[in-house]
Amino acid sequence: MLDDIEKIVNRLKKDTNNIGDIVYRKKYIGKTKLYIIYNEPLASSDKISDFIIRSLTRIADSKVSSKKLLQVIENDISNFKVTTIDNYESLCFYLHRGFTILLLDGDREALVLETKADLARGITTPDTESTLRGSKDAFVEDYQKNIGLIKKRIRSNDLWIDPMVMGRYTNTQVGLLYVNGVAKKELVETIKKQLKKIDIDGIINSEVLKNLIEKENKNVLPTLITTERPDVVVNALLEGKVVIIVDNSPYALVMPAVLNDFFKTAEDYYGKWKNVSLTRVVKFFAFFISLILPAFYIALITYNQEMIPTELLVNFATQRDGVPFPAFVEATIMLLCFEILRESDLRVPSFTGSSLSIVGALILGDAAVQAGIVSPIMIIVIALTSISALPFTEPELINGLRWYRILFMLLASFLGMVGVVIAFIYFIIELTSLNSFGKPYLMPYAPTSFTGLKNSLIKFPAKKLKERREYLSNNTIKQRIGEDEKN
Amino acid sequence: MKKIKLLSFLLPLFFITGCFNYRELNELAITSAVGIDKTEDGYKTTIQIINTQKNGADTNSSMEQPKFVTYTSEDKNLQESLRRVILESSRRIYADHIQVLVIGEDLARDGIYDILDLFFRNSELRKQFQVVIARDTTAEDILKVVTPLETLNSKHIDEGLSVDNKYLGVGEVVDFEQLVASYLDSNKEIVLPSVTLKEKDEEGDNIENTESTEPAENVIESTMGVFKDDRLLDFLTEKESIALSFVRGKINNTVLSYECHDNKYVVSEIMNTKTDVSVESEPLKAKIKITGSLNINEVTCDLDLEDLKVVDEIESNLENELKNNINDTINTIRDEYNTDVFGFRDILYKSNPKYYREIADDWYDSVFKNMDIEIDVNFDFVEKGNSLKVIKR
Repeated sequence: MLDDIEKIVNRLKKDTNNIGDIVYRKKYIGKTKLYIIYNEPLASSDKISDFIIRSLTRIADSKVSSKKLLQVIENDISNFKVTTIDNYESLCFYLHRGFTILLLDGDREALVLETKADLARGITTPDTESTLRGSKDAFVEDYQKNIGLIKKRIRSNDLWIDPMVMGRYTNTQVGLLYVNGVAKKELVETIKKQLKKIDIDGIINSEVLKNLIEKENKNVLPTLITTERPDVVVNALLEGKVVIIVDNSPYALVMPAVLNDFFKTAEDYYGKWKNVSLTRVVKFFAFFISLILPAFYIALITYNQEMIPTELLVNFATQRDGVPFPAFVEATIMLLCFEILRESDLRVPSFTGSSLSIVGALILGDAAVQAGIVSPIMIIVIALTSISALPFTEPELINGLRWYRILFMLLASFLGMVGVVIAFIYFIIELTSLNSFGKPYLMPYAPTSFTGLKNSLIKFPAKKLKERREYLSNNTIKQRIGEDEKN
Repeated sequence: MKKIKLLSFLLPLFFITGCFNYRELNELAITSAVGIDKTEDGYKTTIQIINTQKNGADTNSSMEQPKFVTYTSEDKNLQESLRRVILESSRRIYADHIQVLVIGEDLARDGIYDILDLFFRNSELRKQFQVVIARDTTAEDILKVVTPLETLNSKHIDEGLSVDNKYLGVGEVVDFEQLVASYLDSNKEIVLPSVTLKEKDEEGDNIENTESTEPAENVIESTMGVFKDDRLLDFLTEKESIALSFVRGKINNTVLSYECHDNKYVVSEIMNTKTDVSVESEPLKAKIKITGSLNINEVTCDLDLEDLKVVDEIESNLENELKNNINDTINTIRDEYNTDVFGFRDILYKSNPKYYREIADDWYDSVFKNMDIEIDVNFDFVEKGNSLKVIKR
C-alpha cells in the first residue's frame, strides 16, 4: 500500500539513513501532492527533467481530476518504460536500479519510470582474447549491453534467458542463457539448481560466481570457460552450452567445458580446416611441453643420461659445467623467477612494463648464464615451458597446469624417467575422474564421442560437421553448415 | 581425512628412494672410447674422456683446452684395470656413451674372449659401439691422437668407418652386438675392421697437431682383420677387403677399375650393389650372385662410349675384374687362413641343416677348402657421365 506518501518517504529516509544521494522532490498537480524520488548517482537527471518533469508540468496544466491522475500520467508521460508497483519492497528494488519513482498521494500504486544513467563504458575491443579475424567487440560491465551483444547475434525466439537476482546486498542481475531446443534440459536444470542454492553477500563479478557453481570441481583445472568475446559465447550457445552473464562483469561463463574446449579459440571457427587442425596440433604439443619439459629435462640429465644422443650429452655437460646447483634446484629457481616476472608484469602499469621486461630478459637470461649460476640450456627449457603455456587464453588452465608441472618435476627429481611416467599416469587419472557439469573431462577422447572427435584435435571440413555433439545436445540433426549437393 | 592419511603413507615412498641412480651431469666423466692392449702379465686400458669443461669464464680467451683426455692404467685383469682409472680421474667413469672400442693388435692375436665377456656382462653399457683393431700399433696410441675435423677422436673413428663402409667398402662396420653374435654362433667367424696411424715425423698427441693443414699424425682406416674363433689371424689387403665386403653383402657403393691400356684405366662407380649367396648341397657349391649399377667416372683410353659394343665390353671387363678379385680372395683366405669369414657355413646350415650336420665335423678339414665357388657378377650400365667421348684435342 503506497497511499500515505509522507509515511513512505519517512520510512525510506529512515531506512537509507537519509543519505543525500536519494532525491525527494515534492510537486503538486492540481491539489494532488506527489513525490518524485530517484537515486541520484544511478539516475540520469537529464532524462528526469526532459521527460518526467516536463510531462508532469504539461499534465498539471491540463487540469485533470485527481481521481484518474495515475492513469493519465501513465498514459501521457513521454517516458517509454513505465511500470506500476504497489509495495515498498519493489519501490526499493527499482530505486536502487536507477529508476525514478512517482508517488502519488492517496493512490495505492506508484509509477516507476526508467531513467537509468549510462554508467558502463562503451563497447571496446577484446583485450585478453585477440584474434586476427572475427568480431572485434567485447563484453563490458553492463548486463543489458552484454545481453544485447548476444541477442544481436541470435535473433530468435529460442534464445531464452532466465534472469535472477543474486547477492544479499549487491542484488546483482544474473542471466542464464541457452537456446531452447538445443541445450539439454537436464543441464539447464542442474545449473539453475546450483545457482538457486547460492546465498552470498555479494556477487562482485562472474569469477565469484564461477567459484560457487564449480564447487564440485576440486581439481586445479577449470571446468568452465570465461570469455569476453560475444562470438565465442554465441557459438557455445548454438552448440548447446549454457552461458551465464553477470552484471558488472565483462566475462561470460560458458559451461560445460571439457579439456578439449580449451584448445579451441575464436579463430578456430573462421580458419580453414587444415590450418586450424595444424594450429591445434601445435597447441597440443605446447600443452605437453608446458607440462612435462622441465621434468623431462631433469630426468634426462640426472638419471637417464643413456637416453640422450652422445653429442647432445656432451653439449649438455659442457653447459652444465660449473653450475653449482643440482638440476632440480636450477629449474625451480628459474621457474620461480619466471612466475615472479609474469606476476609483476600483470600487475605493473603498462608504462613501466618495458623496463621490467628488459630487466627480466637481461638479468635472468644473460647475466645469470654469464655468472655461471644457471646453464643456458636451462634458460631455454624454462623459456620454452613458459611460452608454451601462453597460447591458452584461459588463465585458470595455465595456473592449474603449474601444479602438475611441479608434481612432474618433483617425481622426476626423485625417480627419473620412471617418475615422469608415474606422474603422467596420475595426471591422466585426475583428468579422467574430473567432470564438468556431468560431462567427462576428456570427453571426445574418453569416453569416445565421434561427433566430438570430428572437431577435436583435427577439425574436419565444414561439410562433415553437420551434427552437434551428442553429449551437449539432444537436437543433433544439423549444424547448419554445408547442404548436401546431389551430384 | 582419508586422503591425507593415504597421502602421508604414499608421499614418503618417493623420498625414501634415496634418489637411486641419481647423478648430475657434471659429476660424470663421459667416456667416448675404450682401448685395450696387452701387457706382459695383464692388460693396459686406455680410456678416452670427453672434456666438458668450458674454456674458462672468459669466452674470448685464446687458451684452448683439448677436447678430450686419456687415462691409462694397468692390471692383471680387465675390470680391475678399468677401475684403476679412477685413481687418475676426479669424476666417476660413465661408460654408457662409448662409441668405439679399440683392441690392440697383439691382444687381438691372442684372443679377444676376455673383452667380449666383460663388455657383454656389463648391464650399463649400450652395446652398439663399434669395435676396431689397432693395426701395427697400440690402442693407447690410437686414442691419444688429436684428429682434424672431428674434435673427438672417437667420433673420427666411428664416423670415418661408417663413411668408408658406405662409399668404399674397405672397412666393414661391426658393432659390439654383432661381434658377440658372430662369436657365439659357431657357424660364423669374426671379422673386424682396423685403424692405423698415419704419421709424419712429429708427435700427434698435442693440440698443435690440428694447426697445420696436414696433420702430423692421423688415425686412418685400414683393412679388415680375419679371425678364427676369437683370435686374429691376419689383415687382408685392400682389394681383398673389398672382395670380402662384396661377398658378405656389406658393400653399397665402391669404385672399380681395370687397365684398358698400359697405365690407362677405366674407372667406374658401382652403386646399389646387392649380394645373394646361396650354398647348394650335393654337389656342394656356393653361388655368389652380385648385381649393381655402373656409373663411369673416368676413362683415359681412347674408347667410343657411343658405341654400345664398347659399353658392353666395359661392363663385362669390370664384371670380370670383380669376379677374379673375389675368386682370388676366396682362394687366398681358404688356403692361407682356412677360416669361413664369408659365412658359407651359416648359409648352408640355414638352407639345408640335415646335410650340414653330415659334413659339419669335416668343414675346415676338407669341405670348405674344396667346395666349388660360382661367382656371377652382373652390372647394369646407368650413366656415362657428361662426356660420351674421351676428352682430347
